[in-house]
Amino acid sequence: MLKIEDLKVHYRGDLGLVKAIEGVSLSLEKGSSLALVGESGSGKTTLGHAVIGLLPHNAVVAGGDILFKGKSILSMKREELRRLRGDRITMIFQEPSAALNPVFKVSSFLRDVLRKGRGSSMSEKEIREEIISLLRKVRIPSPEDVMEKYPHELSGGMKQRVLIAAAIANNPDLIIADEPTSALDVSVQAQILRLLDELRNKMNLSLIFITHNLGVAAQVSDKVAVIYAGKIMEIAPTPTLFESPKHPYTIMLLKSIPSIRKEIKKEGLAAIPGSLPDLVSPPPGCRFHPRCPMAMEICSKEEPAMVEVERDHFVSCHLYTEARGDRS
Amino acid sequence: MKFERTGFFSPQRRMFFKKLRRNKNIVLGGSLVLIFVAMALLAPIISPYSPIASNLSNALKPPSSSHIFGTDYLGRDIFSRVLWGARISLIIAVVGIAISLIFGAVIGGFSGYLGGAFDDVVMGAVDILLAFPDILLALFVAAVTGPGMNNVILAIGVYNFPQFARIARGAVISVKTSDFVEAARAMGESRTSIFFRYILPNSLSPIVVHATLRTAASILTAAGLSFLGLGIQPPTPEWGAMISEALYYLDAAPYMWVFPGTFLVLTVLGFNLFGDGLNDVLNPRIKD
Repeated sequence: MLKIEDLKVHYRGDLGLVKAIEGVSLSLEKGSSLALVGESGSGKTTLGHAVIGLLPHNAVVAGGDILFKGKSILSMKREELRRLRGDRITMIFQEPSAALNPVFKVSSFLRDVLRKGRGSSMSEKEIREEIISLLRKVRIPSPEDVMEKYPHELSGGMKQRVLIAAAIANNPDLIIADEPTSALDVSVQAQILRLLDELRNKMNLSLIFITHNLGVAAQVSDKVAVIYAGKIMEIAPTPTLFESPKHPYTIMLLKSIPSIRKEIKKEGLAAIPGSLPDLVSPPPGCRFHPRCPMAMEICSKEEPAMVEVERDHFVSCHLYTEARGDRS
Repeated sequence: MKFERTGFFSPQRRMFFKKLRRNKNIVLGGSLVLIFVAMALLAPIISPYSPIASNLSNALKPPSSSHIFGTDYLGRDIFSRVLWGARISLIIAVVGIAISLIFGAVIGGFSGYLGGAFDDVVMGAVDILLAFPDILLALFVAAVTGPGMNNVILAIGVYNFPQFARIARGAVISVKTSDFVEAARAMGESRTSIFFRYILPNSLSPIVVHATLRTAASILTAAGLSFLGLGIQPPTPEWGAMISEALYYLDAAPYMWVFPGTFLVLTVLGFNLFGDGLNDVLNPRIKD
C-alpha cells in the first residue's frame, strides 16, 4: 500500500546540504505496522513528514519516490495532497498539548475533521453522534461532557486521545504516529499504545510508528526499521529483531535499554560512544563506522549493501556482505 | 461569589475574571472607561440641554444649579456638550481603531504568514509609514482630506495601521510555527482556513492590548486635530474643539476648558490603565 523507493531528502542549510535521508526504501502492507527507530536527528521524523507531504520549505527531495496506493505522493498537486491528508493519511503528534488549537472545542475540532471526509453530507445531529462514538472508540469517559471542553481543560492523555480520534475519524488507510507517547506519563503511555494497537487491528489500519524507544516499538509494530544518519541499518519482523539483532548499531541500541536484570547492573548501562555524524559531509562508506566497535577497513571505504540474512530480515553491514572475508 | 454559575462561567473563565478583578489597573482603568462609555451612550437621555442650542443672553455663566458646568461663550450648556463630546470621541476612536485593527491584522498577518517577497514589500511600506511621527501622519491625512468626522476617523485609521500590521505580523510569525498549525496542515486544512481559524485567533491578545492603548492615543489625536481646526467642526461638541474655543476665555471662563480637559485626561488615563492591565493578564510572559 505504501512504498518508499530509494528516497533522498536533503535540507538546504547554512553550511551546505544536510543529507537527512539518503536512499531509504521501505514498504508497508495494509493493516500492518512499522516502527521507525532511531536517535534524534536520524531522519525518522523527516521520513514521516515526507510521507504525508509536509516537508518544510528548505527540504529538497533529491531522489526516489513515495508511492501511496500506487500513486506518487511527491508529484501530487497541492490540492490533491490536501484531500489525502486528514482523510486517507493522518498524523498523530508528539506533544498533544501543542497539537490542538487552543481556541477550538473538542467538538468543533472533530466536526471539522469529519466534514472533510466521511461526514461531508451528514446532518449536524449525525455529526454529533459520530463525534460521541469516536470519543467512545478512543475510550474517553463521558464523551458528551468532553466534547464541550477546550483543550486546556483536558489532561495530556485525554488530549492525545482526542488527537487519535481525529486521526481515525475518516477511517484512514495510514496513520503516522510521531513519538505519540514521549510527552506522556509512563502509565498513560501504556494505555495509549494499547489503544493504538487495538484500533489498528479493529479498523485494519496501517501504522508508521516513529520512536526512539525500542521498548515502545516492540509493543506496537510488526516490523522494525532501525534508522541511523538517514539510512536504514536493519529492518526485520519485530520478534526477529529483538531475538537476533544483526547490525552492531541495533545490538548496541538494545544493550542501552535500562533494565533491572543483574548482569547489566553490574556492567552498567551501555552507552554508544560518539554522536551522530555531521550530515553535511557524512563519513564515507558505512555511516556508522566511526562509532562501530566492529568496524573493518572496508567500512570506511565502501557503503554496505542491504543483505537478506534470513527471511524478511535485512541488514546493511559489511559483516554480512561478501566483503566479510577481507576483514583485516 | 458572583460568577459561580455553570456553562459560560467555567472554572477557567472564573479564574480569568478573578485575575481581572485583582488587577488594580484593570479595575481603575475599566471604571473610567465604563464611565466614559456610559456618558457616550446615555448622552441623549441625561443631558439637560441641547448641546448646540445657543442662548447669548445666558453666555459665559459659571457653574450653577441650572448649568452645573456653566455655559460657554454662546450660552450653550457645557455639561451637555461634555456628554455629547464623549459620544463623538467614542465613535471616532472605536471606528478609527477598528479600521486600523482589521486592516493591520489581516495585512500584517498575511505578511507574516506568507513571508517571502510579499512580506518584504508590505513591511517595507509599513516601515516607511512608521518613520513619520504619528501626529504628522494624522495631520497630513486630515489636511489632505479636509475637516469632518469621517476624515478624522480615516486619519486615525491610517496613522494606527502600520503599528497594528507590525504587531500582527510578529504575533502570526510566532504562532505559525506552533504544532497545532502543523497538525492542521496534516489534517488537510486549507491555507486560508489555517490563517483565519488557527493562526489569527491565537495571535489576537497582543493586538487587543495594543488596540486599548491606541484608543487612548486616538482620542487624544482626535482632540488635537479638532483643537487645530482640522478635525470636528463647530458647533459639534468635541472636547478638543471645546478646548480650542476656550482659548480666548482662559482667564475669564476657566470652566470652558477645565471640564472637557478633565474628562479628556481621565478617559485617556482610563484606556491606558486598562490596556496595561490587560497586558498583565493576557501576556503569558508576565506572571503574577
